[in-house]
Amino acid sequence: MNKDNNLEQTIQEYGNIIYRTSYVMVGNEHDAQDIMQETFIRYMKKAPVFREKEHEKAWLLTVVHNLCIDMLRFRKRHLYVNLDEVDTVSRAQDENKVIKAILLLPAKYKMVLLLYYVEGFKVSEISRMIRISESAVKKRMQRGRELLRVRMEDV
Amino acid sequence: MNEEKWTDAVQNITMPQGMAEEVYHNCMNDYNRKSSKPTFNKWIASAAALLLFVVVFSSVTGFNVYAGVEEEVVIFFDEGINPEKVEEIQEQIKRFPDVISVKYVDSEEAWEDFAKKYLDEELMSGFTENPLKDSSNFKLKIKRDTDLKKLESQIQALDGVRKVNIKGE
Repeated sequence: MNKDNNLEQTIQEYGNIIYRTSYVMVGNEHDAQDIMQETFIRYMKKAPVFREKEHEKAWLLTVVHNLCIDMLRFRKRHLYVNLDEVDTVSRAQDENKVIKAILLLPAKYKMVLLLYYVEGFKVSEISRMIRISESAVKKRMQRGRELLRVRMEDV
Repeated sequence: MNEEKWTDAVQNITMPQGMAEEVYHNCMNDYNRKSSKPTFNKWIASAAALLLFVVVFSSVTGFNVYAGVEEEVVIFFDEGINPEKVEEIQEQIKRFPDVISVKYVDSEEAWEDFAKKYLDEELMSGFTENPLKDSSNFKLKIKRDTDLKKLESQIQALDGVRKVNIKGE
């Protein structure tokens, strides 16, 4: 399969997963697109070979995580979270409120919650993907859930 | 909290219309631009253009084009330094006249480079945390004729700098 077909197929398959993860992490459409683009460029350049489909998804989301963390660092203090933009993300009003609550969580909690609850990875897999211990993953999940509960009560 | 509620909301986030196509085209353009091999004629044209630029630039500015640049200095920070302080150091370093550019290498990147060079996948999987977590650094490109000792002491004097490595010392 050539690069064109391969990339097109990969974007079709993982585009929405990568976009929603990036979007929740960085909080605005423009930066999410940049991260998505850079992820696929790295995918093309490195052309990794995977034994299983899940490994491919894990590889892509690991790259997304690293890029988001880089962006967080370089964006000086905090990322530009555009809450007004959320209204265009989903049509359902109550969903938008929930998304706003998630966007306002600290990045380190968002990533483990996304990988576990939305993308279905195990704690051990997340630990390898973002290179923290399993107990740290569990702690972040617990703290993230607590914070999210509080935020969702506010919105 | 009902996990289903927020996971459904996140799962319903999809790319805006047209973004997939835009990303695809941008990726392909980037890939083709970087991987395209110039033909012989293009090489000749590029070399001629470069030579012309060098001659004009040198004669107009008197700039010594042969001075060149070299990456020779790596700066490590104090443990637990915050991002604001790192940026402050970056700004201070940029003001040194001999420094041409400053590149930030985060600890993840430092660990990945190290692991790529020295570890296989099995050994790497034994690490659950980044063992080089305090190895974020700046790599400097500096002018070739820089007084390295002087620059080293100037950088070492900055608050938040733990170590300065001069290549070849």
